[in-house]
Amino acid sequence: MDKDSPQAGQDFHEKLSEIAGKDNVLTGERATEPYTVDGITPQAVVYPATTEQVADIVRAANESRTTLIPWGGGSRQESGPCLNSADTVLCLKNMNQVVELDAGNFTVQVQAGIVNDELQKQLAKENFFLPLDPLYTERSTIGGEIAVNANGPRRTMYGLIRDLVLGVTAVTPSGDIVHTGGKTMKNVAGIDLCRMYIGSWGTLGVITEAVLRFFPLPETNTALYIIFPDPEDAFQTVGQLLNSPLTPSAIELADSVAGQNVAKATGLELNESEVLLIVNAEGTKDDVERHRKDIASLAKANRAKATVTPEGKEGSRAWKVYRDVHEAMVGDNNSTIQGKASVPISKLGDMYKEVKKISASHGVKTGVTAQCGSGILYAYLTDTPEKLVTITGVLKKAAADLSGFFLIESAPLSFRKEVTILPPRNDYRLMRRLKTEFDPKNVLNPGRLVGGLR
Amino acid sequence: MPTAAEELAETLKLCNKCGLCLAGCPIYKVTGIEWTSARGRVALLRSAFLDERLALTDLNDPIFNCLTCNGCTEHCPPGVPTGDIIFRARQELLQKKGDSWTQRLLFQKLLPNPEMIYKASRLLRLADVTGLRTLARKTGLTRLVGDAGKAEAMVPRVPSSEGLKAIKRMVKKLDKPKHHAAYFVGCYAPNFAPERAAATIRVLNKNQVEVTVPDFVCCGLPAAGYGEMESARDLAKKNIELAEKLKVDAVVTPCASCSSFLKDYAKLLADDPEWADKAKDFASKVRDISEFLVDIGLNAEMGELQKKVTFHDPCHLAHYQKIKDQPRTILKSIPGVEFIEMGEADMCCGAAGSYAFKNYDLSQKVLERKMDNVAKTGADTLVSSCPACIMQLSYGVGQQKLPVSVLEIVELLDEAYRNAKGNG
Amino acid sequence: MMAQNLIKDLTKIVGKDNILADLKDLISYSYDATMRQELPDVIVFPHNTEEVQAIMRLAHQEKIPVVPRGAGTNLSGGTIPVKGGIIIEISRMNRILEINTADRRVVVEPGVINLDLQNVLAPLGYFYPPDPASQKSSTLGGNIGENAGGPMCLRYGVTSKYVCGMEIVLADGEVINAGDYVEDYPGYDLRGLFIGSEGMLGIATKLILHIIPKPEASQTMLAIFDHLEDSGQAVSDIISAGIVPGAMEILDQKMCQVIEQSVNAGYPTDAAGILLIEVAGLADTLEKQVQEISEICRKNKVRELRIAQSNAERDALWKGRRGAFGSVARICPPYIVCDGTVPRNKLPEALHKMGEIAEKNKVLIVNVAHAGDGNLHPLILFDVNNAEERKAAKIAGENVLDACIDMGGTISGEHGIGLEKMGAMSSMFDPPDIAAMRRVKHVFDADDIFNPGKMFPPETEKPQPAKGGATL
Repeated sequence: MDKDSPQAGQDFHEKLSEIAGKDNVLTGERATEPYTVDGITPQAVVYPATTEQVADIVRAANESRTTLIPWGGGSRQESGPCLNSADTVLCLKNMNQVVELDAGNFTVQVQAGIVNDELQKQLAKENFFLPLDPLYTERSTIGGEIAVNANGPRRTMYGLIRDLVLGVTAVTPSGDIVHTGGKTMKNVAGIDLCRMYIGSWGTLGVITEAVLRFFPLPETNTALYIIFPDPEDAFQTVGQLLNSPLTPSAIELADSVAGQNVAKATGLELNESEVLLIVNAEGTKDDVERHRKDIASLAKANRAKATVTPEGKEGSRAWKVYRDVHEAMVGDNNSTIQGKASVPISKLGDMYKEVKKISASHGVKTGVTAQCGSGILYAYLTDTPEKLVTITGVLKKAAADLSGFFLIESAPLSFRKEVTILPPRNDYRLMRRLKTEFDPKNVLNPGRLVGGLR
Repeated sequence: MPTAAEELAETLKLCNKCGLCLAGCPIYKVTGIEWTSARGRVALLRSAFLDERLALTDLNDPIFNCLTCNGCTEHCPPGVPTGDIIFRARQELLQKKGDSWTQRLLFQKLLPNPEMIYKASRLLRLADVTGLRTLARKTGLTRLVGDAGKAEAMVPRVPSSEGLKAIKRMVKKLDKPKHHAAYFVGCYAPNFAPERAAATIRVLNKNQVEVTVPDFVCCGLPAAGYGEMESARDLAKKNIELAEKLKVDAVVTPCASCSSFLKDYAKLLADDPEWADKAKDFASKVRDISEFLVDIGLNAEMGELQKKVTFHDPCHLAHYQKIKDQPRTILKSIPGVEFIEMGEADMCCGAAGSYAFKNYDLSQKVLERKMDNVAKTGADTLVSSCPACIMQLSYGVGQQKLPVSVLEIVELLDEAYRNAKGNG
Repeated sequence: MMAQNLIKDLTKIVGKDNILADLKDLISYSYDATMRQELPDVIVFPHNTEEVQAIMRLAHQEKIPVVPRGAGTNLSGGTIPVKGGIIIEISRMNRILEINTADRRVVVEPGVINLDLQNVLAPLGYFYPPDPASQKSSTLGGNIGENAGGPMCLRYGVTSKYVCGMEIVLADGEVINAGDYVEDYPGYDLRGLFIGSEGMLGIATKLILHIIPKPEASQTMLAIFDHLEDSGQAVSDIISAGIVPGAMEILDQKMCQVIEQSVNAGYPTDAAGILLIEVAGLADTLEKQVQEISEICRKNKVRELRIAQSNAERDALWKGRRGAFGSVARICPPYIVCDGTVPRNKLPEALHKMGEIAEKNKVLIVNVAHAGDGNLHPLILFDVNNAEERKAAKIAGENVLDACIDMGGTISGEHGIGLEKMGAMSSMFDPPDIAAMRRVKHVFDADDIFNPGKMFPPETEKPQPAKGGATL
């Protein structure tokens, strides 16, 4: 069937209405325009209500060779290799329920479309929380976060989303419903398809449900905001902190560009070439107090200029300002790209130095944040596309020289179309085979992830 | 008479293949080959004895290249007695293969007779003094005799000695002895290290122990190790008979292999109605030197020795007799000594009696691992409590050119006592 | 028996000192810690990645099955060469290549023994959390193949969390690096797929592992209960209170009796169950944790609480637990060990169910469990010479797994499927689930070279190869 023919399209849209109900299908550009992704406006958007409906939709898409774009909160649409087709968006916003909250087992089964913050609200009612704190939790869905392997500062203490997801229900690209994993903390039955789906960017299946483990809300928490005149001292502090039995829940760093608002919010002075180190700790009162004391001593011993410990509302506000840094750096700006470097933890300081050096020598405006416990650095680079392409190449080499890699985390469409987003790896061939095996017709998210490899 | 298969059936079936024994097997550690571990040897013997899938004669290496250190049994929760199983299998295999003339010469003519051993040692000394031994080694002649030839270099230069006679002359009568002990001299000391025998007697005397040196014969372990159980039993009976006539509190020896096997006489003769009880009585009197000294209360009148000391546990002390603490207690009580615990201290050194003479390469690999552990301690003194171990460890230290002296524990103690103020 | 020319070719690759093919060798490699046996055709001991690649190219060309093997201590038949072939024994690839505590990484060859790594890390103040009971013999490569657990998993997580990357040789000899030394590597989590794949997707030749600082302090407690359900409830209550001990293990009365016969751990033999707890954390807050746990145990009618006062006491308490399986072997060598796992709060119910299953089938079941994870290890004892008892034991094992599935659990928490639980896969998974797993296998190893005959029940169909040329 020729999918470009209007008749074929209409047939498929009718099928969608049959499956999900007319009220749950949008057609026509005016209606579907908000779901424009990578410059493509889909012809239809469907809101299924159950996993079975998703399966029927996927099967229909297979039959009519329609490409499907799974959609949660749409918060990561400016990331990764570009889609090369987007016929229909399959939006899971109506599948947003908690299916089972097992307070005795500390697990929760959710529909994939539940928004992270919403889940947190429900967990908080019973004094629990999910230590998953990537950006945009006010609109990103759990399913989406699983699909993109989203992580936040709390990974430092609680691990990655890979370690929080115990089970996944997904509809494969051929329309089969697959249950992977389960609800137990330990599970080695069979091949670990759960891990396969995490970070698969919607290319191997549509995640419709997931089981995650949660934790009791900590008794209390603390946060130290520390200014270091010399970035090396900050990284030395981090090194000593990591080499201790302390277990901070976040170790974040911002340069004077990215950290300016945060410094202001905490009454600190952050001058050029200085850095702001934020260390969070949570747990029992005693544990937190020990952390506060020890971290403050470490900071002092490493020539920190100033340390503040904002509490209560002030503390929440300061943290919110920090979390808003990304928006502040990227904003509506079409000339800013966000690069992500991942280097060995002990080399983060070197990478920071390199970024500063390279951006200075190229004359590119740069803001930097980092997740110091993981060796992750985000560089916000603003300039003309040509200069950005050049500096990207230099940063890629710098990261590689430190045994790490540098990729484009988010950028305007035109930029993402121009550069190679992902770093070179020797297992891409196998990944392509995995994609082909599960999705021979390339129905789901064509072009994403391994689809964007040159 | 039960067959070997019937005798071994129950113990062979005890193994549930958990594989924890791999953690304690030096041969497995240096080869990585499954059948060199207790689990593997037991599985193969099971295949031969119970399943009849293999012929015993196909299993010469699995049966004979086991160190019988019993390092495996420590890790085996069901307690499979691998050492015993191997010994029984050797006996069985020997019966099938038959004795070689060298074995008959060694176990039936030489070892039962201390005089013969002395004479043989003098021959070797002659070879040393005339330079013949060194010549044979340098011209590669020794290599013609296979592993035994390679291992020959481990046997140190034979000292001048008058054998057991001379040691008996060292015996002193004490004014007010608190204990009486028979010193089981063994085969090595009188012929190859008479000064150690002298040290042993001095140390015992210093601890108010009056010593007698009876005409004990070889304890029998070398014979048993080869599967020559009958020869071993004959030797045991000789020693038991001798001991019956003595009026002593204990039969003491600084050789761990000897004390271990002497204690096993009860097991060795359990099925002999005439000897079973006598063997039990005898075995109950046997003491390793460290065990004995700590039991009676070690004389603390020692001088200072500024040494960094580490201890290698002889298998027959640690795994067979479960004696580990006493040597350490002794060493730590010597003033000036800094005691450093070695990694894998109770792992076999590879000596295993005469193992090196038949399995030189494996013995060396195990020794290398031991030397690594010694070097890591930074000690300047390596102490052990078995002449075979001492010989092996000295060889290793020489090979690796480590700045470490190797001593028997009695020698170190002797030195400490002689260093005491006002000591004659 | 393998053709002579193939043995010659393999000898050329690894050298004559690194290949074994006598009957006694084949018998030694026909078993693991289960009671099954099948002969391989040859065993090779490679020393490096290039040799492994060459072996795989040959195997791939000749379509010879290959079984990667560490110490062969797995409990599911994972290293039994049911279709013969080549055993690639990794025990001689056993070097620790790099330790970098500042990066929290070690790079090792797969043949390194778990405990050996721990002993090297301990003086540096670090450890590698996965600590299976077999750790003094099992290899890190083997641990990865089974996604090994261990008591410490309660607080720290399983092997999958601590493997950052691996160099893997595929069926055709190609080498890939899955995962990475650094975090957030892009693309599919091939690393995650490989972990716990039981040697069916490839053979890892280098491992990059995540290590963490040792807890500042730890304490071992023994809580003795008169009712097994009370101990299970205590476990639930402790975790619900927000305390995460380093480990929590339950052993029932019969298990304690069996252990004390072989190992002098000081366990009581007259209590319905004991709870062995390892508390870990910061030194100043440890005492409070111990008190809280004690309080919770008291609320759950604990008979007696013992707190280890020295390292020696602590080691003794753990020696008993670690010697549990082996002690059972003393009285019943071919025991069946189940690995069913249930949601933690279902543990008391599960333990009760084990008693019911034992009674119904007239077999003896002794229990040890990683209580905090809900990972049960019911050990089923029977007279191996009695055909009826053998059958009853097998049925009891099936009952156990069914019960775990019914309670929302899984048929294997840490031992793997291998041969032993292949039959139960269809009880736990639907055909599309297994078909998806087979797809992954097909991607990595279309010719089924690696460890064939494991994991997937033979009656589940193999998926058709992908049709339609997809242009990516």
